[in-house]
Amino acid sequence: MTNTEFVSKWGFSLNTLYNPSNLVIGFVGGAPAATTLTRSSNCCKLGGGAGGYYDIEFGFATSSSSGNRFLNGMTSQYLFSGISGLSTADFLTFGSATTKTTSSQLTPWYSVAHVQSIGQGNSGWVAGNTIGAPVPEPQSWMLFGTVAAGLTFAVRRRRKQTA
Amino acid sequence: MSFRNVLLSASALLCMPLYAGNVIFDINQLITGTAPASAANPWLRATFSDVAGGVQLNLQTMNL
Repeated sequence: MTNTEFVSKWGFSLNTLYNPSNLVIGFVGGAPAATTLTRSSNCCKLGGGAGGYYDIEFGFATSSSSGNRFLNGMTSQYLFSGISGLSTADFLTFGSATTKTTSSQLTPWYSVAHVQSIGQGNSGWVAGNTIGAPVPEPQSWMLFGTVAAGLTFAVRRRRKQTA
Repeated sequence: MSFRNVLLSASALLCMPLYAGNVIFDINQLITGTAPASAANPWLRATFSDVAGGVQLNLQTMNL
């Protein structure tokens, strides 16, 4: 672990049914906050020569004078809103390679990031995809259980009152 | 609370989307340039979660 490597850009794409320009992106917590937030359809070229175009780009400080760098072990959290019906599944969208000329340059990535200060000042574009389909969270089942228990209690109470 | 109100509240809750999910992107492949020095992978992780009022994104540097 070098502890000097940092993320300078991180991008995603949005379901093509939606206009990324309508997204409202708010910083929620963690450190550091992005220094730039860009969102519009295919706004952002990410991934170098083999990369593609993405709809949302988070830009982080590249020098200490422009803010805290996004170093190892940090988190940075945001809330996406402004689009009715938006869900996590809408971010399962590949980057676009519409301006590329060969099929070998297609961009089968959901997310691409730029890491800098690797070794002797090198950098690299890294990417990845989902590691799992959306899954229900425990609170959904807890909510269902709470409602069911409440209904049962209310029915029993009503029967006692009428008896 | 009357039985009728209990039923109405329960109906409203049941009509809410029970699905609350998350999607995780592990950034673990080099596209071009130099790979991060750490052999541990993923280097980065992005987690999208359905929350009240939208979708929350957690960006995390894991193994740089």
